[in-house]
Amino acid sequence: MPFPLYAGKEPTTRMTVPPNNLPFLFAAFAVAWAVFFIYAAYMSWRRQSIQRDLRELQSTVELDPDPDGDEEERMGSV
Amino acid sequence: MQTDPYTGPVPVAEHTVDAESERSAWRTHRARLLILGGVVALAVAYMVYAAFPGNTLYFVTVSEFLDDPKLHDGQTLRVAGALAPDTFRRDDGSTLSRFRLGDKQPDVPGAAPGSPQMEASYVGVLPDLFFNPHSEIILEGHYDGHEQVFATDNILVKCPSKYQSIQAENPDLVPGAVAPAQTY
Amino acid sequence: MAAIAGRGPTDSTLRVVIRDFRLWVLFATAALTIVDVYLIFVVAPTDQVLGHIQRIFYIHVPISILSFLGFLVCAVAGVGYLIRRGEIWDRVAHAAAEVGVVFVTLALVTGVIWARPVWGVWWTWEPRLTTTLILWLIYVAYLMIRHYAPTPQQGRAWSAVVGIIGFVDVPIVYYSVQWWRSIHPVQVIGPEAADDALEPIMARILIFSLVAMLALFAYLLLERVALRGTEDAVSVIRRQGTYD
Repeated sequence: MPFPLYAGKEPTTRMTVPPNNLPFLFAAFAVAWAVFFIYAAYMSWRRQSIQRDLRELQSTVELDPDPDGDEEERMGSV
Repeated sequence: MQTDPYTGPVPVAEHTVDAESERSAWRTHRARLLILGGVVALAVAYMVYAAFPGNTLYFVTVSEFLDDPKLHDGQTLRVAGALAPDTFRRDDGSTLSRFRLGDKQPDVPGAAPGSPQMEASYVGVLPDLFFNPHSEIILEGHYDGHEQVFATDNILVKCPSKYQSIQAENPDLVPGAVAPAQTY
Repeated sequence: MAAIAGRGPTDSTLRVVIRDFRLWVLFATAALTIVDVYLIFVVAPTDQVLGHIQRIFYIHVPISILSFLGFLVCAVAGVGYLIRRGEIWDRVAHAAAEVGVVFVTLALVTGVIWARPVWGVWWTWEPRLTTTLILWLIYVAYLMIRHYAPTPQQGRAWSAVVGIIGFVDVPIVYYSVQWWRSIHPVQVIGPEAADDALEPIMARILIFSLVAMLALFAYLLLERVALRGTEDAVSVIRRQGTYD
């Protein structure tokens, strides 16, 4: 395949200093940490909310609310 | 009864709904499962097709492209190589670039000396690392037989798998400092 | 009802130990992450080709490795569940799959953010990226199967099978950069990594980041297992309540 060198202008000067791209760098870290934080916070909130529901449910099925005096433990909290 | 170390004895689930509504619930579930399975299967099939179209390779090298006339029929493909020195041309104020690509040897900067070269054209903004001699350049496009040039739609830059600090190769260059300009 | 209320003191002690352990892991995660931030942004050298953006590497790689670990735990616990049928096996498998999905999602997201300025595109259909997206789909399907199965028992068994078979994709993801031509850099860690892929300081910071991320992974896994325990306790009461 013949390829004649294109008769355009010589290019301008190029730098070898690496690009910075700091917004991308910070975006990646921000997204990762935000997702981890939200996931952990969501699990913790949901566990507490379910434990509240559990107490209500137990009173509707007329259980002794706290027979052994250790409510937290019986609520399924690990 | 099952027992587990966290909650102790676990009662076996009791049937709390009549058989008819359970059957209809299962039909709904089965339909959803079938749809789910179908969507996943289609998605995987599409992705495998997209990743390995036709010739099962993500890219061909410049030599492979030049040696295989079957690839010159205008089909869309990717060609990988390195920018040949002193071949890049672009007029001021223009976005049309013309350059040549040679074969890239692993871990060696720039195009391999004496390797065959391919003429390419591209309209658009070049990626940051296009001119870095460590970069391997992947062109997405097709061969234009009329113009005898590889018409590039997208340029991708593959960077080295080895990471090295800026100080290691160039002791004068510290982060944030401006490097001396270099002409290609 | 006595089955729920009656707990021996041993069980109670175990619970407290596990709850305290989870808190200690959380503190360790916080401390390690603070040191890790300093190492990544201050101590780690700037890459000569990529510049500062290469620092994403110190979370992208550990996150990817820990997603593999999550799916390994899921597959092993899935085998345990199919053999022993104990609730705890399923609980661990389910938690590990969900945490694994969070990690593989972030591996994809941090990869996409890294790819845009370096490769020039957000996404390309190449082997490493495609096999990773398939891995994501497999374990999202794992989570959906649990949800859509006609009974919880079937959901547990079916998802265990998906979790075990789906793990086949993990070595495919790892070796994809060897087996096929790819735009993704080859391995810098693990059996296929080149000895000089990283400068010693970079390798040491990567290992530290991996340890910090492992602590975070352990914390999230423990938290998820605990949440499943609470969810199970409530569904037991709900079933019995309806029955009464």
